[in-house]
This record gives sequence, structure tokens and C-alpha cells, in this order.
Amino acid sequence: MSALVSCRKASRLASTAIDRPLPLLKRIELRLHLAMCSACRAYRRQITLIDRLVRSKRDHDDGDMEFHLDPVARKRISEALRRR
Amino acid sequence: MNPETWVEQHGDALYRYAMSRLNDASACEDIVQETLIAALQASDGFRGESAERTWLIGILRHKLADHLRKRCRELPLTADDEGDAVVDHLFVPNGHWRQAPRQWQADAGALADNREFWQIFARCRDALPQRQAALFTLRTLEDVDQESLCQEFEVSATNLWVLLHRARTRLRVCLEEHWFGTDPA
Repeated sequence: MSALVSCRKASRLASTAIDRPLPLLKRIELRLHLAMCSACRAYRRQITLIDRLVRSKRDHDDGDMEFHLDPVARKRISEALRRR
Repeated sequence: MNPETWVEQHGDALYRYAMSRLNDASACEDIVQETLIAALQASDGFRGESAERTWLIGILRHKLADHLRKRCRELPLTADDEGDAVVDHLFVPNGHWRQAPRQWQADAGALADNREFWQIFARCRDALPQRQAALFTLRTLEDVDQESLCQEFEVSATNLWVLLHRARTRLRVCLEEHWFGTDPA
């Protein structure tokens, strides 16, 4: 039945919907599927959570403070700058 | 502006920024070096409108994107046309889940500041096929738009959505296995 998309396709639509607005028909297909399928609802919640977490890192992230530029690399970079 | 002090003042910050997107110490050291050299050559362009750090991060982001793109160029061209065994295995042939995603007990606010979570996340991201990792990072962390990604990685829009779907699906499997699955709740 063509009105019903598979979980595989629904999961793809849910992913694409994170990146751009879906065309009307696809949006309806996804919505119908999600209304009936708790597994795909869980999938969508999870990839949305991952996306939101990663994006929240983007704007205020100082990185892992345990990371330091290695002294050897530091010296190499300083010398490369001085040569210019 | 004093390039002599750049490594001292900004070296760690630039390095951390690069490492949070590409967990590869020697590549990130090279990227920091390229960034500072490019900055030195472009220093006439710095008008003090933005803080020095922000300006340098801006240059670093270009160098990072270049690096990710070049890595992917070296990959065999056919790799993406084939299916993704990990993702394929999640579904039975008629397209239903082989094993349905389960609920996660997650407090998003708390996770954002959880260092251990991000270490697991970095491991899961590093386990992605290179092209998927690069596209996911540039799309989500660098907010690069669809047109640029398709052009620079030489993939069609459809292929881009397929690869991002695979990346997200693999990430959630990996996170479920190594983080959410172990949640005692």
C-alpha cells in the first residue's frame, strides 16, 4: 500500500526533516507513519536529541579542557611563524 | 596584534576547537599551524572588528573544512553507492525494524555538560565511515549548507540525505550501546 511508508523510509524522512522542510506529501507520509509507530517516534526523538546536543556545543564550546597543544607542536608552530 | 604571542594565547583554544570536530591530534596540530600561518599572511585583513580569538577561529574553521574534504577525496569513489551494512542490518527486507529503537532516559540539559558523554560521543563519531563523519560534523557543528556540501563533496542532494541518515542512525546505535543502554533507569 503506497500510502504507508516503511520504518526504513520513515526514519530517512525523519532525518531529512532535521536538515530541511519536507515537501507536503512526504510530511504527511511521515506524520501518518509516526502516528502508528512508536519505534519510529523513539527513533525521531533520539536523532533530534543528538542533533540538538551537538548544535548546543557549537555556540558555546571551549572544547575539552584536558586537551593541550603538545609542547613539541607548540615549538614547531612558533618556529614556523617566525620564519614567515 | 602580536603574532609572537598567538601560540601562547590561542594555541590551546584553537587546538581544542579542532579536536572537538576531528579527534586526531597530529592532524589538529597541523591545522592550528596552517591557521596561524594563514592568519599571519592575512593579518592586514584583521581590522579589530572582532576579537583576535574569534578571527582566528574563523580561519581555523575553513582549514578544518578543507582538511575533512581532502580526506574524503582520497577515499575510493564507489564507497557510498553501496549500502551501509550496519544500517542495512537494522531493518528486515520489508523495511521494518529488526530491533526497534527503545526509549532513552535522557536529560538533555545534563548531557550537554557531561564530559564522559562527549567522550563516548567522540568515539562513536570516530567510528563512522569517514565521509559520513565529515558530512555530519560540517552539517551539524559547522552549519554548512546543503549546496556547499554537495558541491565540495561531489555528492547529489539525495546522496547527502542518505549519508546523513546513515550517520545519525549509526550514532544512535552506538550511543545506545555505550551510553543510554547502560542507564540503570
